[in-house]
Order: sequence, then C-alpha cells, then structure tokens
Amino acid sequence: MSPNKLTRLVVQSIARNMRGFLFSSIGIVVGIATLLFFTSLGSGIKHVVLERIFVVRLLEVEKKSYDLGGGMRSGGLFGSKSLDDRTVEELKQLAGVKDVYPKMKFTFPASARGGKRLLGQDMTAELIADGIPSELVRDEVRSDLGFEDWGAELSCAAETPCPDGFSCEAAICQPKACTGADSTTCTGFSYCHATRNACALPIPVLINPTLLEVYNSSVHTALGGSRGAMSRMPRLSEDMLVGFEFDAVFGESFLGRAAQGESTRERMRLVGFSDKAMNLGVTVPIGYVKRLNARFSGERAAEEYHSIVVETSSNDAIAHVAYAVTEQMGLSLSERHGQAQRAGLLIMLITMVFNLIALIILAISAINIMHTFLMMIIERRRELGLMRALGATRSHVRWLVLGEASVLGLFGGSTGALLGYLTTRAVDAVFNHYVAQFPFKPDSLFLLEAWMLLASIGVALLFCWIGALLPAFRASRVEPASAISGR
Amino acid sequence: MRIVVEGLTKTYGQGEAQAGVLHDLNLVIEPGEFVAIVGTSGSGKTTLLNILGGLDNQYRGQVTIGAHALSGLGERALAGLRNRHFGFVFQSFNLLDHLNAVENVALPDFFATADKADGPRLAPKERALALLERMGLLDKQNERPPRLSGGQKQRLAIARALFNKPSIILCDEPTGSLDRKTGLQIMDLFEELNVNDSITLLVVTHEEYIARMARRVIRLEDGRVVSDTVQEPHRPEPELAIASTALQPATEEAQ
Ligand SMILES: Nc1ncnc2c1ncn2[C@@H]1O[C@H](COP(=O)(O)OP(=O)(O)OP(=O)(O)O)[C@@H](O)[C@H]1O
Ligand SMILES: [Mg+2]
Repeated sequence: MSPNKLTRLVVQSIARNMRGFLFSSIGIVVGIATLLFFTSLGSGIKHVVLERIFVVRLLEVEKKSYDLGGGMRSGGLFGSKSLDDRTVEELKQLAGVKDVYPKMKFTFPASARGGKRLLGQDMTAELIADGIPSELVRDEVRSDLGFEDWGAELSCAAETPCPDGFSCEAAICQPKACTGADSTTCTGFSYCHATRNACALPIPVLINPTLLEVYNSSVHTALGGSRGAMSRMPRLSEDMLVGFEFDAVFGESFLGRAAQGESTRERMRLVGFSDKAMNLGVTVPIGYVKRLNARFSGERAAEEYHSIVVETSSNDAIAHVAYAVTEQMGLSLSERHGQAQRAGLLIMLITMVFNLIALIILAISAINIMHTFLMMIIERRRELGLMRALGATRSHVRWLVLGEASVLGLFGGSTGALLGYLTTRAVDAVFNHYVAQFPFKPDSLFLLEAWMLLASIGVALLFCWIGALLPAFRASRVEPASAISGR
Repeated sequence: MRIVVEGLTKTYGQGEAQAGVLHDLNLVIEPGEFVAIVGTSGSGKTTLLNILGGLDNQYRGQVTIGAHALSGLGERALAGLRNRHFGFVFQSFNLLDHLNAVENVALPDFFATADKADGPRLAPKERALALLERMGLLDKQNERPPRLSGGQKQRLAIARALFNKPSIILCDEPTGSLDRKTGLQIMDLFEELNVNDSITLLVVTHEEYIARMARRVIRLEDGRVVSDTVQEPHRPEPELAIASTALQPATEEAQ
C-alpha cells in the first residue's frame, strides 16, 4: 500500500471516531506538554546558572593550599608548583584547552574616587583590581581606547604612530609635556597628568557584567527605599557605563599605605564588560599590575600569578581538563568549580525527576492507547475482516492500526508541544510580573530549543507506537471468514 | 478461472470436540458457470464458500483456482487473488457506514497492488461512479449506507465486488435479508453479470426460487455433496420494470 493510500485510509478511519481519537490523545498531550515544560525549564535554569553564575567552561586554577590549624597557608612545606609563565605554557598544551589567561591581583592598597556624572555625587571606595593579558578580551572591548597597556614603553614608526598625547622620539613614544590649564596638548583620550605635567592615557578597565547585575538588582533596589542622596541612584546599563572615568590612588587607601613606594594618582576609564573580568573589582591589562606590584611590593610580587583561568573548548572537555590540572599538574581548582558542579548536578537531578514524571504520564497514556485500540479492534472486527476479504494483507491491517497511532502521535505530540510552549510563556509572564528583580533574574526561565520540539513529537510517536503495537498484531490476526460471519 | 476441489475436508476444533464440517468434497466448476449451492442450515455451505474464496485456509485437500493451488499461496498472494479475481457479496451487505457510496465501492482500491499488465485504467473514483451508474445508484453516490434500502445496499455491495473486474463472484445468501421482489432484482443483476461479463457465479442460498435461476445446483448435506444437477434456469416471475432499468446502461463495462 502506498503511503498516500495508507494516509487516506487512516484519515477515513479516524474521521469516523473523532471523539474517541481526541480522548485517547489527552494523555499524550499532557505528557508531552509536561516533558517539554520541564526539559526547557531545566535547561533554562542550567543556562543561567552554568553560563552566567558559575561559568563552568572557565576553570580557575590556583596553587594548592593546605589548611593548617584553621589558617590557610599558600605554598605548602615543599613549595608546590608556582603559577608562573611556565605553568601558563603547560596549561596551554593540555588537550581540550581553548585559552589560558593568568590573573594577577594588586598586592598593595588602592582606592577609587569618582562617579559624580553617573551617581550624582562622588564616592570613594576601596579599589580591588587584577590584571589579565589584553589579547584575551580584545573582542569584548567597546571603546576606541582599547584594552592595552599604555603605561608600557611603546615603540613607534611612520606606519605605527603613537597614541593620543604621545609623540614619536627615537622610535619610542614619549608623553607630551603639558600644564594643568592647557587642554589642547593632550588630545583624544589622553589627559594632562597633574603631578607629572605630561599627557597620559587613562588605564583601561573592564568589569564583570555580574557586578552591574548585582548593582542593578540588589544595591539599586535596596537603596531605592532609603532616604537621602542614595535613593536617587539610577539603574545603570552597559551603554551608560562605557567611557566612564574615575580616579584611582595606588599605594594608599582606607586600609593603609603600601610598604614601599610613593602613592600615585591615575585616571581609569571603563572600556567594556567581560566574563573574564574579576567578580568584585576591576580588571586592567596585566602590565599595569606587574609594574605597580613591583613598585609597591617588590619584584617577586610581579612574577607570580594569583590564579590562571583555563577556558575549555567545550563543556565535555571540562572533566578531562580538571583532572589533568589537579591530578597531573598538582594544582587545584577554585571553590567555584565545585559549586558549579554541584549546582549542575542538582539541576540535572531535578530535571530528571520531573521528566520521569512526564514519562510515567506518557507510559500510562500508552497503556490507555493500547486499551482503546484493543477495544476498537473488537468493535471493528467485522470491518477488518471485510478489508481482508477485499484484498488487505495482514501487513496492510497492521499498518492501518500503526498509521492511526502515528496520526495520534503527531497530533498529540504537536498539540502537547504547543501546550507546553504556551505554559512556559504563561509561567514566564507570571514570573516576570510577580517576582521582584534579583541578581541574574533571567528574562525567561526556559530555554526552548528546536530539537526539544522535534523530540517531543518523536517521543509522542514512540509511545503511541508502543501502545499500538500489540493491537496492530491482534488486528492483523483477525480471521476474515469468522469475522465477517460475526462468529 | 476454473475451480477444482479435490478431497476437501474441513474440521473445526480439536481432539474430543472435533467436528467434521466438510467431508472429502470433489468438485469442478468451469469458468462462467452459474452455480447455486443449497442445503439445510449447518450443512457447510458458508464454510465451503469461504474456502473457495481464499478466506479460510485451514483445511485438508486441494483447491485450485485457475493456475493457483490455494494451499501453495502465501498470505500476500492469497490477498492479491481475493483483491483482483474474487468479488464477495454477503447476506448482511458488510458496507462501511462511515463511508459514502462511492468510497464504499472504491474500498478495494486501497489494497490493490499496481499491476502493469492491467494497462491504463480509470481513476478509482471514475470506476466507482461507472459501477454505481450500472447498478442504478448514481443519484446515491454521496449517500451513506444507513440511508439506503436493503436492495440499494446489496446493489452497492455488488458494485464493490465488481470494482476490480473479478473472474468469480461468491455470494453467501445475497437475498437473505431482502424481500422476494427485491431479491429477484438482485438475482437479475447477477444473471446479467454472468451472461454479459462471463463472471463465474457461486451463490449460496436456501431459497428454492433463487436456486432455480442457476444452471447448476449443488446440494450439500452434512458436509457431503448429495446432488449436483444441471438444469434449465427458470425465472419464477415476470420481469420487473425496475430491474430492467438497472440493466440498461450495462454496456461499456462489459466489453
Ligand atoms: N468457527 C466455527 N467454529 C466451530 N464450528 C463452526 C464454525 N463455523 C461453522 N461451524 C460449524 O460448521 C457447520 C457448518 O457451518 P456453515 O456456516 O458452513 O453452515 P451453513 O450451511 O452456511 O448454514 P446456514 O445455512 O445456517 O448459514 C455448522 O455445524 C457450524 O456449527
Ligand atoms: Mg451460512
């Protein structure tokens, strides 16, 4: 029987008993809707947690630390492997590693002052900062200033001119001299440094989008209810912040003064947002950190990294890379890695439990379909016998029953998928309307992917076929002679 | 197609409960014959017809239809034979109530295997309409069986039996649910098919006036042939106008 004929025959059969058909599809519709709902909820939440809160693909490698008498002591007795450029190279060689970027923190006190333009008044805060290599974040920089170490010695030539405020002398860029009142010498991004009386470029700064998220959803909301100047603080967007400048004082803060060196004031300029930036602080090109650490804490502080972030090529490579780092290289991973793993596992377990419920619903509806189809075969015994008499083979009859089950599956699957989708939209609407802003609050709780829709229909078909298999074989065993005589 | 039955024996049940229904039957039915099978209730008429029509293959002995030994045919081949060479007409019509007249007639098309030897044929719907016209049911083409009279239903069933131009039509009590007048009209149709289209007709009946219209009468008693006679067909009553109108357009299809 051609697919075309089979389809027409199936449609003829179904059209007769539309009500029974719709009735047997209810279980499938509900089951598929449930399955789709929880699958997309699970992956939606996983997406937020594992892609934004704990970015699992980014492993933060630290020195192994030993807990001695409650206090943390880095290094260990025999001096565990240090995080230097050799380690960075070794990590780059590991299979499954896409990128490696060392991080170095400020090892001296620093503070920041500014914010009048954005917040209405200047504020002073402890400045926590670290440095990473520029080349890792070039794509994420949204300002023409770039994320470069402008404090390093820059060479120049005819085709590679110096940046704003510098001039080329003996193939080296030198800052132009200026005075406080003079605003024409230091062009573009550069400004006239008050104590050096020379042009300087602001230190480019990246911040983690998390920081903005936390500010907007928690700090801003919490302060909104307070009185005074703070209550008028605006919500901030990334666009508003790019280009924001503030002053930093290195070597001196609320906490005290650096052991050596004289404090200095520099301008900083926000050039973009990056997941690779530190969570609660600002990130600058690593060259600045090396120089400042050497100046305020000595040369040794400028050689060792505080941590090395390893980006794996895919989520599948994480386990392998984590193993190589901890077991083979003798380094350890930050606590966040463990947290991410636990969170991921928990989400997976919860998703599995709900999907199990959905599968039970589907199994029950498959049994229901089997029952309905068996009843239908008893009712239609005479008709099936007649079809056999008119030339239907056993396989024609089997395909007729399986064809009806397929239509049931396609219908139940697509209706279920639609119902599931509408439910996710409704839940999202309720969620967005009634649940207050919180950090990382996603626009949607669900992540619905095309494969899930296809899989829904596939699963519906599968369960309908499972339910219809026995009835199909029963139907094909109907003996035409006795069925027609009604015996 | 010639029908040859040799040593046909049929039993139902097993062991103690075993009951013989047909006992060592031997028959030859030539192509184009019009045979009535008569006998008392329970004598095995339906059982024999089902075996000849390939609806029942649980028997001993040999049944040959044309060149095919039925017991040698697989399930598919048997289904193909039923589809292409046999037409069935039953006492209880066996029409599908959810389909209209045209769809009922064209039902065998779903199970037809494409055969190039058949040459180009009309589309199923056209064929069904031509047969409805021949059966005088053209105005009922969109009607469903529950809205037809008994005679109309049986004519619809005959149209369906004719759909694939069968060589043999097997009828089990085709007039059993009809009154005498309507029964005769149906028999007139059969006779016309037998004469004009040379279709072999096997009609099971226990009504004497039906049996008298056949040229050959086989009488069964307890599963045995007790008589097998050739007779001069005799139509018991004068022709009825309605029957002849149904026969008039019977031309193209017969060629
Ligand atoms: N499926 C079956 N199982 C057991 N016995 C059966 C079966 N079908 C028929 N029989 C028996 O076989 C015998 C012949 O039955 P069959 O239907 O061929 O008779 P019949 O001549 O057609 O009778 P009627 O004129 O009443 O239709 C009967 O005794 C019947 O009880
Ligand atoms: Mg009978």
